[in-house]
Amino acid sequence: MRSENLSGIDAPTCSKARVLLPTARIREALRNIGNWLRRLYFIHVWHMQIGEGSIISFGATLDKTYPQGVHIGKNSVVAFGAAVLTHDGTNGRVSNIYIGDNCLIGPKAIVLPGVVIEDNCVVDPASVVARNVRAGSHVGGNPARIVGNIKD
Amino acid sequence: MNPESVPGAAALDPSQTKVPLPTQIRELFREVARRLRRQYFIHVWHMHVGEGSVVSFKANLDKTNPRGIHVGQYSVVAFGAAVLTYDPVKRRNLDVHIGDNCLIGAHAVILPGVTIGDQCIVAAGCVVTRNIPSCTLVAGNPARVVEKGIRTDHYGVRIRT
Repeated sequence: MRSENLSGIDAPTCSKARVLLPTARIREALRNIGNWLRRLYFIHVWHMQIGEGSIISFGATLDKTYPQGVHIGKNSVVAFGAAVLTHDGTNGRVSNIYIGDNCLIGPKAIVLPGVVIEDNCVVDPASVVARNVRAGSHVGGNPARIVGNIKD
Repeated sequence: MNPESVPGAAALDPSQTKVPLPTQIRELFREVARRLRRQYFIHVWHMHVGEGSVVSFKANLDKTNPRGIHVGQYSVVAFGAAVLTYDPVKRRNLDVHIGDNCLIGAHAVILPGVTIGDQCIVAAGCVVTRNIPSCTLVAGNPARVVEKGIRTDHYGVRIRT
């Protein structure tokens, strides 16, 4: 998805974007290590299922009340401030949550317990996902509705 | 991920599920820290936080006008929620009242001057702009009444009849 978008940009802009400041380069390198450690921390300490290459932002919240219910696929991104919940205090229950491969959970979005997000989905920033999301769809809003489709 | 291969994401009873050790340790520390946090709000900021109320560590209570916050007994303010008491546009301090046995959901925003009655549930990501009567469930942005006449126990746990 992201590579497609970049290919649409003119070549000079693209090459400019690739030249990172030294500070940014150091930050990226540290972040890569941090992300790698964070994934291992969630898997081994909390027994969550997080696929290879998935990135959980340092500001993101994964529910630790019922940690074994979190299932995230490969190469997905959970952006900063987003929350993936597995317990519902109001109704006194816990549920599993499934996020597929190549998904993007936008910043500050909330995924409520019991939701299945299939592969190749994009969740808009600050949206609240209360129902299951079909593969390849783009959802947003509170509560989240389908905004568009993602073409392969 | 193949949706057919996914086992049903059905609701489970928390008493039936195994609680892992890290979670048990975490809950223990949280219980202590919760009580300390309430005392901190009461004695340092002079907010009115009732007995047994829980304010999450990531929740924001407005410290511009801390005396304007009134939270009842056995209510919960979940993570990321913001309770505001100062309106910077009109430059006014407005009190916020939250009743007993309420639940303010994750990432919800309570705007200044709002009164929330007893036994209310504010859903996740909700922006509350108007007063909410007692025993209602509100959701959305701006908050709309979804259900009336609900009953809740301590910490906003819903009683179904």
